[in-house]
Amino acid sequence: MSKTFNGVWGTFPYVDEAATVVETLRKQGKDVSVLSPCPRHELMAALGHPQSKLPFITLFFGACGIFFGYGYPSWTAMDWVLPVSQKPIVGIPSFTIFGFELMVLLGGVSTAIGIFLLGHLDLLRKPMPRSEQFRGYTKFSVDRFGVVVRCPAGDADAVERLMRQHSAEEVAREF
Amino acid sequence: MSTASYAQVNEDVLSTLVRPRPAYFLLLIGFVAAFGLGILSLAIQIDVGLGLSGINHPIGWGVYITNFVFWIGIGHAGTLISAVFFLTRAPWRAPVYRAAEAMTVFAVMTAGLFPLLHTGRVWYTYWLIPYPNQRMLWVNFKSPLLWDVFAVSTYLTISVTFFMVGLVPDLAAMRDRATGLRKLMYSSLSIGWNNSYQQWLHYMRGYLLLAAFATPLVFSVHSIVSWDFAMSLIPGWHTTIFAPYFVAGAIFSGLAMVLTIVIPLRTVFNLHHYITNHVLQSMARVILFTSIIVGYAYGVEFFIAYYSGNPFERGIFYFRPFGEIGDMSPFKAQGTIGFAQIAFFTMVFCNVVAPLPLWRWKIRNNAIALFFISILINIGMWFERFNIVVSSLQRDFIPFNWGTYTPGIVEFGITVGSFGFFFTLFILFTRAMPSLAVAEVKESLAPPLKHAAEHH
Repeated sequence: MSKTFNGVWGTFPYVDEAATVVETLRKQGKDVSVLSPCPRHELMAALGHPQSKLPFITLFFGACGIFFGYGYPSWTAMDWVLPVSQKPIVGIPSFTIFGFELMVLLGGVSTAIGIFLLGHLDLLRKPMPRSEQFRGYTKFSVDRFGVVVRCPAGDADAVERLMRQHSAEEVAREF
Repeated sequence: MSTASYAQVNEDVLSTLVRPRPAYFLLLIGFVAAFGLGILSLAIQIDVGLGLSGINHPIGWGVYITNFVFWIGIGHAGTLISAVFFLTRAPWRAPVYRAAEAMTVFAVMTAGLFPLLHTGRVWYTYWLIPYPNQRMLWVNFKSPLLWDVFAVSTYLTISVTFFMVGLVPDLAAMRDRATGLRKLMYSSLSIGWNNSYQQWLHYMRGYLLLAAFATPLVFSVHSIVSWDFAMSLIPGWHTTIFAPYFVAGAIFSGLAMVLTIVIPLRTVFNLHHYITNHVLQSMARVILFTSIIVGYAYGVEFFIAYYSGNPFERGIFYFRPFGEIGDMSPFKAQGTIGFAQIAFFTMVFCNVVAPLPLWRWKIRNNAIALFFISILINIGMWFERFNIVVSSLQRDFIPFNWGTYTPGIVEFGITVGSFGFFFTLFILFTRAMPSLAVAEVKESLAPPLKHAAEHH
């Protein structure tokens, strides 16, 4: 079940200023999210280098691909035995091609699905503002950086003050 | 590196999607007409039968398999640029990788058609898939032809996946600019992308993982295609050099096709600030490097044939340049200079001699010269595939079994149609999607910093 957003958000023209605000708020124990037109290592560092769980999905499905890639041809070889001279019925070196290809196929497709699935799940856990002003703001895909802080109404003044000290262009509250 | 601002990148790249000039529509009509010729030729072939082509015993693999290998090779440069150069952090890849990746997807789509057309009865294509059937018969998993089915279909799926994942942030940027029906379309395609770090975090990790998968895939696909030949016993095919030889040729031809596409693209859309001469030069250097590998492979093939002491191997490598085996006065006996010999010398000239001017900086820095060299390489690589596929089948172990091959008119039509299909898709892509990766180009720029702004 998705949570409702309560907090403050601001927009910034400079990445270093946005990163300073994020780092300060994170060290204060606030729940902070960032928006930016492209990934920036400054912002990732300010967020404390969070880690994605995506590699576990990739590993699981890649391993399934290897299992299926060796298993399926082996099963069909046993199902309809076709002896060819003295070659082994289950030809493991030949089936390595299928093990590799299906590892890449299942691992790759599950990774792509995982990217968007995990992103949306994180957005349910850490909701974004729902106001028309936020949803209609299109500059995060152009050249502006956004800082979203989920906090109680009592902390809003301090957060807003910090944002304005660091060149925030727009600051809005939603409670 | 471009000095443009983030907003300027959006403006420059997304403005390429506005209403195009009349020249665009003229090109589109030309490509659609070529594609139409291919469809007509295919329809005639299906109606009359495969006998209409030049394929007959002993040359069972002709222009269709040549086209298949050629187009698969063309696809390799896209994955090389988007995955391998991503992992090696080559800074010049960002402006060209989107176009190269689109090229890969369309080239592999084109390539995938040819084995199906080659079978003659295209409506039985599903027999290639290992599904449980009425007689409980299975496909032969030990056959290189089935390895190909899996390799090419995996390559196509992963290329499309990689391409679409890379597009999502840019589709969101287009959604934010669009109105009406276009906004609805881009909103659906960008699947809720909002530029938050909840999404960027998984995106960056996922992109890295996809690149890590695509890197061995790009080398494996053409190796597996080469094993279609190398696993057989035919002289000229049965050699261990084939896998690296094919991969080097694929990268060589693919990068040439990227240049063929990107040079007009930057002129038409005025993208000189992003696709700079430095980017073209970097690609030219890789082309030069792979040209040397390909030239070396040509030489090694001859050396292996000589050193093996195998008369059949020696025979085919005499036949390729000089014609009839056993005739020690080449060019004299009737019929010695056939299509196979023309293919051989065209291949050597276009792939070994034509790239030599790239040693000079002035040539690498000249977009027009690069464009013409890239066209010559594309021609040369098609003839290389033809030389490998066809000439070996013309002269096998038993002279009684020798034959000649002349492509039929439908094969010509379908080949022209494949180029029409490829370029039609690409030109439609430039109209519907950004040809440069907006988010990645921004990543390669200096970010907006307050202290830098104050300094100015």
